[in-house]
Amino acid sequence: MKKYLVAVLALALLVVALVGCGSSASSASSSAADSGSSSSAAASSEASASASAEASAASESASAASSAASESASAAAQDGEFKSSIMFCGSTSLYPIISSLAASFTEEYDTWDKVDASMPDKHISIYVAPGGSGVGVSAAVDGTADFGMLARDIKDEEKQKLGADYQEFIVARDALTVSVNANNPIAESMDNMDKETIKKIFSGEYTTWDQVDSSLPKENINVYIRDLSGGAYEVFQKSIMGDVEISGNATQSASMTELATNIAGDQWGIGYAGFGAYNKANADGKKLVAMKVDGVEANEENILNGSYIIQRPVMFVTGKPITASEQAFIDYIFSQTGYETVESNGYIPAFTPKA
Amino acid sequence: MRRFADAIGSYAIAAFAAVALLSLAFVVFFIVREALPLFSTVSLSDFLLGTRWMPVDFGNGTSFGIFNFIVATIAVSFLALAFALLVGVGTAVFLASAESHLIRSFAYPFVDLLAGVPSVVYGFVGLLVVARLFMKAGVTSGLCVLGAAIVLAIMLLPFLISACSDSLLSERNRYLTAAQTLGVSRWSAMATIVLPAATRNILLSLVLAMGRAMGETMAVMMVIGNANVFPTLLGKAETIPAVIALEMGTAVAGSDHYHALFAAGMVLMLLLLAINLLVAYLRSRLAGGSALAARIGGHGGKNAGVVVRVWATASVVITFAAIVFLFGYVFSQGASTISWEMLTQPPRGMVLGEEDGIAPAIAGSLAFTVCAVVMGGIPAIACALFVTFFVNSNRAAGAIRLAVQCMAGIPSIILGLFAYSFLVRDMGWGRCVLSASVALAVMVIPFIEVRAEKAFSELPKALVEASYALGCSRLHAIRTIVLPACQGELVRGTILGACYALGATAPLLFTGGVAFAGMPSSLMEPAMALPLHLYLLVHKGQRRSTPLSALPS
Repeated sequence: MKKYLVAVLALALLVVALVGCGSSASSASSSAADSGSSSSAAASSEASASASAEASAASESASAASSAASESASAAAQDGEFKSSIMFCGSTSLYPIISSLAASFTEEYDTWDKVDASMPDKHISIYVAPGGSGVGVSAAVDGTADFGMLARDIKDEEKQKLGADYQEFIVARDALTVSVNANNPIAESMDNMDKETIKKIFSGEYTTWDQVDSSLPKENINVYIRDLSGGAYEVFQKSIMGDVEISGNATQSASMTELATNIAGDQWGIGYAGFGAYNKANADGKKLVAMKVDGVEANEENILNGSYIIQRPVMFVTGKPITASEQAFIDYIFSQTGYETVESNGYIPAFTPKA
Repeated sequence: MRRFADAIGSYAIAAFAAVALLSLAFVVFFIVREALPLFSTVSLSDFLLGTRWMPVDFGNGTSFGIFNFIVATIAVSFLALAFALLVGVGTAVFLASAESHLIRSFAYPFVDLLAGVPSVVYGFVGLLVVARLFMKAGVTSGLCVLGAAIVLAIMLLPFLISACSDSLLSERNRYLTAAQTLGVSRWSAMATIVLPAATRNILLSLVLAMGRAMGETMAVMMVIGNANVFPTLLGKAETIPAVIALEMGTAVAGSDHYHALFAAGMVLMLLLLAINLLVAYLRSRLAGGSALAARIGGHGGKNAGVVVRVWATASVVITFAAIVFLFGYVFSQGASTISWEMLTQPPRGMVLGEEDGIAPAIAGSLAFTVCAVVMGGIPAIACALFVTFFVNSNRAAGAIRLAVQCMAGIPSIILGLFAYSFLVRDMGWGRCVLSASVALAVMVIPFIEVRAEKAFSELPKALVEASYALGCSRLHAIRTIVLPACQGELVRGTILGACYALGATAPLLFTGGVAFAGMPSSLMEPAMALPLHLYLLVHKGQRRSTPLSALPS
């Protein structure tokens, strides 16, 4: 039994060494350093080497990792290390657009030297992770992604956290329509809702449709919203609700398209479907009807000139200086292909394409 | 020289077994460490009994009350377990009582098919079929607690059926022939003798299923509606795993929101532990099914037999109908879109996913699975070997088994949480295949370990003891006798573990799964995964179903 206690102790020591290794290497370390230290740690677990041998091996790899880390940090600063992979993370509204552009970019060029002859012959790897606008900002802040995708305005604290090298790239504009199902009789009697009415519906003060308009039947109002990690939640809260909380009875959807689909499937539903999702849902026949908000209709003109109040920018941000490879892809996003992709996904491009 | 090699081998086994057990300790320690800071700002009673959950300050202050979530988690799990118990035990009784072995050899693998279906597919079919049925019945949007319970019940069926079948079969073999000789009809014997005798083990399988039910994230999240209200049968609700999955990425590291999510996970784990202990206590009270058997057996054998027969037959019909429907539905919807192109090309199209291509997702899923099985399978088998051959005291063995059982109860979303906070953030590994694989490995360890232990304990003890008597060292015996004899079972267990890892989505959400990537090129880069891809497509609203279940099982 004693032998096995020794084995367990050795293992515990190994784990501690691993954690120590990892935290010293975590600051701006290259992936090579990380896999190097973890594999040497794993290898040393198999040997029946004494605890001191393990400790010295661990400290060796720790110093190697830290020197590699400082090396790569200075290398990156000198632009010596070429970055062949780019990581986007965040908004569920923007990720389909970026994913599709990443796919066509990778297919068209395949290796970086084909994009620009001055770049090395390495495979293009662009990764796009969803999660919501909140996830996007967190990932950009703690460095787990190169670019954070947002579908809302960035907050001042977030900008500060991203640092002095902050840059934002606005890809499109999206508006939140206040949509009801096309089969709801309200679509025929009213085409405008003022801010107060919308507030009361979403906060749960009005529970049945006849409270909104006495000509409507006494059916429950089913409110559909985005979940907290979505940018839409905040945009709606700021532009319409203000201090009033949204009702706890509202159904959360994990994406805009799901929200639109939910309203389309529910005769008594109402929700803030995004402009793109709204258009997509109506692509095969009118399923959703958007109300005017305070008399302003949700169309391209009103969104671009700012008169439609519930709108948001769809963009990506970063807090690190942009490398050559990233710039090449960004140029691609803002090209004609990018413009068409944004449009096909149902958003209004916020840029004019470069030649 | 041989002694030296043997010593190394023994140390290696002990070390890997320790890895398996330490990982549990590590996960628990980590979750608790991240959860406790919450309680310096929010009191425990406010957290547990409060009903307002507003983690972001929109002008009215923040509030962290998870009462509704706790109730919803328990309610959905218990409801699903009730359904699953009813249908599952009935099916197991029917299969155990069947006269011909042929039926059993066909039926058990067929039921195991259900276990191989990923939870996302269940959620997807649940959305399309169950939710739609409820919508027609008048429930708004069709998303409700009852719907989620039904979907979860079908997910639990294979676990309950295979767990109950073992004990029912052994009791049947023990008593049925004798009973029939004494003139008792087959069904009466099943009702009054076999079933009561197996009650104790049925309770044990209940515990295993309970852990699965309470930890299930994806399927329930897609069908339950996600609203922070007190759960009612036809109303919406939100479970703790769903809250964690939906809000984890948004929470700023170190904020109250972040700690609150961990605290919710901790509460879930404590709940599971409490239920485990309760059932263990009940089991010890019910020591020996004979007491119960005597009590039930006393009341009208013939009627009981008829009732059980009807119940068992109905259960089997329901189970098989569910399996056939599930597979038939997915295949019929997806078959038309499978093409060689789709399987080998990356996704493309202006609106991604509209034109085909899931090759990177297939490759990514394989990468995750292989890594997870290698990292998890070795410690699991080592742990099983350790418990069976190296541990001398019963109490130590019991403690290790309890630890493994606890591991089985950790919800997969919590493992994802752990991997995200520890590996992606603290250790700086970033989102990559390795981070996700560690989470998957921890998920898979108890799965494989239980099966490996079962295989080793079924080996005739005489064989191993004879080898000791002939002078073989322990390790030699393991290497040359035990492992080759059990290799069939071990391979089967590993494959089942691989299927389980293949279908997991929740651990991938924040650790290594992405919406788009090229073919996976290294372990330190993220990758696409099939279940995640399906989940994202469903949420984008694309109803074209991917032939997901064709690949595992």
